[in-house]
Amino acid sequence: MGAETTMRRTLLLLLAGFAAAFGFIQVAPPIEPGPNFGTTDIVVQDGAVSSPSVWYCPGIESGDVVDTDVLVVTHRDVDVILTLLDPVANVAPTVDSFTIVGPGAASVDVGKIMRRGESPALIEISDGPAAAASIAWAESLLAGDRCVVSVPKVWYLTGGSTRVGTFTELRLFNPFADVAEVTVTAYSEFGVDLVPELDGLEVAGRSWATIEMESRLEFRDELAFTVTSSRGLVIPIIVRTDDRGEAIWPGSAPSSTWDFPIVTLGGLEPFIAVLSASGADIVVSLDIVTETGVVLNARQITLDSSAPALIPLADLAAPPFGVRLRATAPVAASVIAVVPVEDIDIVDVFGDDLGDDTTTTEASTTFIRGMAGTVGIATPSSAWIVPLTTLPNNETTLWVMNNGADPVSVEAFALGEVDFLGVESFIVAPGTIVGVKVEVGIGIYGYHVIADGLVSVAWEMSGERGAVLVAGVPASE
Amino acid sequence: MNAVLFGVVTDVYDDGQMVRIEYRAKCPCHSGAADPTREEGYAELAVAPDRIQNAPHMSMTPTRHASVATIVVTDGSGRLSRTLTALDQQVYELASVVAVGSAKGVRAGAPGRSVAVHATLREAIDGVGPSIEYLWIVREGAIPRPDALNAAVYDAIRTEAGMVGSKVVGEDGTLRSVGLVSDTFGVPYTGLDEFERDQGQYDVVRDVAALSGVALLLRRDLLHGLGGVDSSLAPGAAAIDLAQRARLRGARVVVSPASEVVFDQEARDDVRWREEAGRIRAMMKAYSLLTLLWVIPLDFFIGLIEVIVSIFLGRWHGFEFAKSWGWNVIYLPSTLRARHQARSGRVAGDEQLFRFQRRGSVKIARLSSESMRALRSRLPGDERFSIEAVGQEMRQPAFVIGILAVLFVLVAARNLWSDGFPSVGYTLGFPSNGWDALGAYAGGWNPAGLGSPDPLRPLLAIAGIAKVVTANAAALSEYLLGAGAMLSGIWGMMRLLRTWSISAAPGLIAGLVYVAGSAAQGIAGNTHIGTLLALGVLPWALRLTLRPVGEDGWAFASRMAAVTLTFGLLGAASPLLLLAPVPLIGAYALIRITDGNAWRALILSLVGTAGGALLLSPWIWSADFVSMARGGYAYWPIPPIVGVAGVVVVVAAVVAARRHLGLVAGWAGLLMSVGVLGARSGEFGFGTEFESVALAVLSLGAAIAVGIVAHAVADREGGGWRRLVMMVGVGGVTVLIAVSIVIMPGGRIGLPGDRFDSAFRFTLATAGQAEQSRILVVGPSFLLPGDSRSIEGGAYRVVSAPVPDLGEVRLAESLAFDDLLEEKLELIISGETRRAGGELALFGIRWIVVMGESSGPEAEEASVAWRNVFAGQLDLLPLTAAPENTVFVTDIQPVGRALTSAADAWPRIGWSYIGEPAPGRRAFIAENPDDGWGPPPRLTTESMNEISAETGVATYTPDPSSRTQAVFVLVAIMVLTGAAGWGRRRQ
Repeated sequence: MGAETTMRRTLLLLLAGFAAAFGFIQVAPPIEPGPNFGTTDIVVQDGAVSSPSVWYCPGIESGDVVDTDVLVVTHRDVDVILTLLDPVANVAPTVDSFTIVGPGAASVDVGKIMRRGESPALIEISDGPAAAASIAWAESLLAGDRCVVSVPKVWYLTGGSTRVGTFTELRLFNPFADVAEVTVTAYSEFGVDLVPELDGLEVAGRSWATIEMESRLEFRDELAFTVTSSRGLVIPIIVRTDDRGEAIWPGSAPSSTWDFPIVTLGGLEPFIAVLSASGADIVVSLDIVTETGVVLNARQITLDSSAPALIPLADLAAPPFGVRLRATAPVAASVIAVVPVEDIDIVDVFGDDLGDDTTTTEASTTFIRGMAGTVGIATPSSAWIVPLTTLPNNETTLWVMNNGADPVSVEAFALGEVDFLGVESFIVAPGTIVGVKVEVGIGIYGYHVIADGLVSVAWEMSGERGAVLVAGVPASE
Repeated sequence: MNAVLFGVVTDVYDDGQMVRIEYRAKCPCHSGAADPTREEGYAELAVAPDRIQNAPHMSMTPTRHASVATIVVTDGSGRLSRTLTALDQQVYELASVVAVGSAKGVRAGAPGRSVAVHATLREAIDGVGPSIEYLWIVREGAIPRPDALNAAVYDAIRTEAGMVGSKVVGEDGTLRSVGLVSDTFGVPYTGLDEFERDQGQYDVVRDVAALSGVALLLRRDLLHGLGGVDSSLAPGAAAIDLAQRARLRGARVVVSPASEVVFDQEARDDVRWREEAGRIRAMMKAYSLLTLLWVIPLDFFIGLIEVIVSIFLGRWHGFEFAKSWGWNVIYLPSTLRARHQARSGRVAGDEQLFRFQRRGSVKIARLSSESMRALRSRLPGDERFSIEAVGQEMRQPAFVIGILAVLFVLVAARNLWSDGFPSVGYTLGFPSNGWDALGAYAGGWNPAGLGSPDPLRPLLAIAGIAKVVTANAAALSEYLLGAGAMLSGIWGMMRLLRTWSISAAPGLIAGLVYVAGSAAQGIAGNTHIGTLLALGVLPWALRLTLRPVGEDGWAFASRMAAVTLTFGLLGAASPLLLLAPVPLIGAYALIRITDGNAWRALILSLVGTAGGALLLSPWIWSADFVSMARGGYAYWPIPPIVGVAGVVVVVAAVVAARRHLGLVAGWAGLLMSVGVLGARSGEFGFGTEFESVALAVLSLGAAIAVGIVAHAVADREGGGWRRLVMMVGVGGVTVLIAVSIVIMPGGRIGLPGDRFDSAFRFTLATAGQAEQSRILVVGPSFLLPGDSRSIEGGAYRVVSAPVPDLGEVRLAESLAFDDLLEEKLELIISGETRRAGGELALFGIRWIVVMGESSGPEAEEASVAWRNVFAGQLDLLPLTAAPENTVFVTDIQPVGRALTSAADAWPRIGWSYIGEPAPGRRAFIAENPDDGWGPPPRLTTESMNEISAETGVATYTPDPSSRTQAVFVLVAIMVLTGAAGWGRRRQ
């Protein structure tokens, strides 16, 4: 009996020990990755989708000199709500609403709604595909770009400068109620330029902050930025000015290819500003696409990881031409067009002798006004929505680029408040660009471009008031 | 004026030549009559010394006799003759003697006696002539001492009392009544101890609340003015009623101890409900409306408590309770008439009645006393309570440990007293209304998430019952269940260990480790409140099955009933745990293979599991035990020191325990190891609820092993190596006890601190919004209330504002409205809309709370992701800038769970929506669509409910089948309780 009991006890102990040991060796649950949604680290290409959308337009300004046209183009009947934020905190925004019969386009003169200077806005469109843009203008000013629809956590902005006579501002627009906390990292020809006060910068809800770079990063020929949100979201734009004009463009996406259907306008000298988004030693190649053909690898540079590059284009071809950028890794890119340096009177502002190597050129006979800039197009599309406008004494041209191997038939429908205002049908040969002059004064506020192949579309306007370059918006249809 | 002058010698002066005679000149009217007038005074008269030398021995009878008629109330007990004989022997001359009862009965009771007989007391009173000043009402069987009436009359005159009662003693000299004190509710209280003997300790004439009806002297005019005795009442209640009415008329009610009556008849049980009914009627007749406003509801509540508590004392008063109140409802018109008569012409108010009443409730005091007595009879051992036993026990460590255990529970649960259960994880507060919870369980609407007709878990029914019993007190029900489960667990473990003859002290130590040890803390950490409460039931379930069954068939049936009930309770608290006893006892039977009791226990546990499962109807029929066991990931991180201590204790118990205890220890070790394995079985697909159940098994095994080691050491079993091993085991036990004590500082029986109450209370900032709205809670799943759903790896769930209750813990299967919410969230997350407030308003969601820290170095990844989603919305406003539990509120109006077509939001009250009636309009109820929502005409849309807003109420009609099942379960529980209790009484 005793032996049997002892045996049973031993057996039980062994059994228990085995089960316990088996329990002990079990592993803890794997750490599940958190959700990654809502916003992405990398910007998504803006696009017009077949659903309601909200477009953010930080570049709106309306005062005693400057006026802004808000342009909306849509395929369908839509209700549009334009909300213009007030610069005074806790003051209700100004809201205007209107309806567009689609397909159609409308232009709203913000100056008729309010005049209080800077006033970023958001435009809610009840259906789609639709897109919006804002163009600020004055007697001697023309600036603007398309509005943005996607709100990422990380933005790339290239093409800034604080060289003498040039000013760059970042405008950080927070259309949401929550406070946004962002870190602005500046890159110049010296590499990463540390500005401690731009680390953990707070932008109150439903407001904006304008950061002037002149006092922080003086005398930088090339400036680029990344804006990273650690809390909340902002929509940044870069505002570059000099004594001849002003240009406004939003952040861009990192991409290995960029299309700029037009980079030349109004006699301005074009440059491509690039910033690495993915490491060092990125080879960037530029193809020049003209109305007659393409020049492959017209210019090639190797990009450092923390220094932006400004690639001159004026010497590569006679205008008009567009550019296709190819890189071995994703880069951020934008085009900036400025008055050529030989056309600027160099003024000895300090009264010093500038030395022998300083040449003072004669003023040109034709006075050139303006500055223009825009982001590129990462992915060609067969359908485009192009909000645009026309102004007296300025010439507006819609440009279509075909980088494919086959000719593409294109139809460009001019849209206004009263249905189609005309259609242009044409063929874009492979590796060429085609420009369509936009008739001024008949109420064209946008285009719907449909092609049987992949093309990229942008428009430019230049004249007495200055110049503006605006990229089109790919549509989902 | 026709006055009567009578007086008494109240003092004899020292010189012996003067006496003091107090006198009163009275008209025939007295207090209580229409116009009481009197003149009082005294005179000092000179008397011859020889005439007063025997003064102390003189009769105290006044020189003029007040005429007294005697009424004997017969009861057919055959003792009339003795009473009449005693009346004959009264030194005070009786004017007449009449009997109340049947003539035949009187003749049979007093053969050969000629007594006038009246059929009713009223007739007897009316038959008394106006010359009679006092009536002496005596019950059949009472044997007044010869001077009883004399003393009563004397005290009546001396104290000007309208009613005088006698001291009632038994034939053996024990005191039965020296006047009665009642509480405010009219429950009599003699103030006497059982078997208290009369030693003259109460011999003072004093005012009392009421008098025993055994022998009662009343002024005839007073009785006439009062309208006589209320014949509809039982004797006890009638006596209290009469005294109260007399006191309202200004009459004094006194007891005269010098007037002694022997009476031995016991109260008959069959009239208890009549006494209760009479007591209620007496209150309604005597008290002012203001007093009745609080007395009647409170009395009802106390009666309810008495019914419930009496069950545990082996009595059933439910029917009496119902009958007594029912009788009063039926007789309410009569009571109102009697009340009018009683209160007309009153000269005193309620305060005069309160002066002679006892504070508090006699019933509650009596129940407390009986409960304590019942408890003492079971603690700390099986021996019955006695002073000797107390002395003996107090010298034992068990008693000290028992006190410490109670103190431990009081400290460990102290915060539940004020706050109830913390709102954290799967532990949420009980619903505010118990009946609502019970209704929801019995086929009502499941409010979790966006609602569902799926049955709710039985734990909600337990919560509902607890709420009902505690009159929906805020935290009391949770405290009672939390602390009660802990005490029950300790007590149950002690009783379970007695199965193997392990004494009380080791049992208490084991109980402590069982309810508060590391494994129990693991359950509490999982916030599975049901399993935590089930710890209080599990050892009882095992004890009831393992305890040897008697030969008596009735006892066996009673045991079956008790086992079924206990298993049902176990399953109600923790459904998965219901499945545990069978394998546990099966393993035990295999280990003790030759033990017949073990195999019988297995059969009992099988029956208990089946019966207990049936008691979980209607929930059981839709229960999915597999998904229940597989939700989440089971992984209990074993504290190394606890692991080592546990191994030491088990090895010591198995190796060194003598005889059969070694095998029991082996079984305990097996339970522990299986528990460890189960608690870390996430890799095999098991979830957190399964983990909690496994921890309960582990805790059980650990406690049994601890008990065996402690028992072996305390009993000084063996010597040599065994003792050495046991001493090592004691080291392990010490560690396990030390680990158990760490739950004391928190004061929440080991549960984590509150999370949701503090996070969601802000919703009450604007009055009315919380009841109309929901909260979308997002963040890491372990920070969300109860179950959660997932979208693209992010957890979310919808809860009621201000704070969800226990009914919302478990989410039902996703239905159409849930799917729509998921679609909307996808839309918001993808950034396709920037107006999340508007999208979510459809669901009555006003607030979004991102649980956890969403910024800073401690930020949770999921919290950050969710915050970024809602930070990028145009119609959401942040309510706080704090990094933790960020709140967004919608900018959209109106938002409501129930919205009329006129955009009026109806608040959720209980389980319904109630608002302003909107004739001709419709109401949209943001719950999953179901035909049960009404009133009609209704239109069940694809995703929500659209009903008529005509009545201003939206309710859910319970599923009739589920409700019927719930009623059957209720009846079954009552029958089983009765059977179990009856069996115990037989034993």
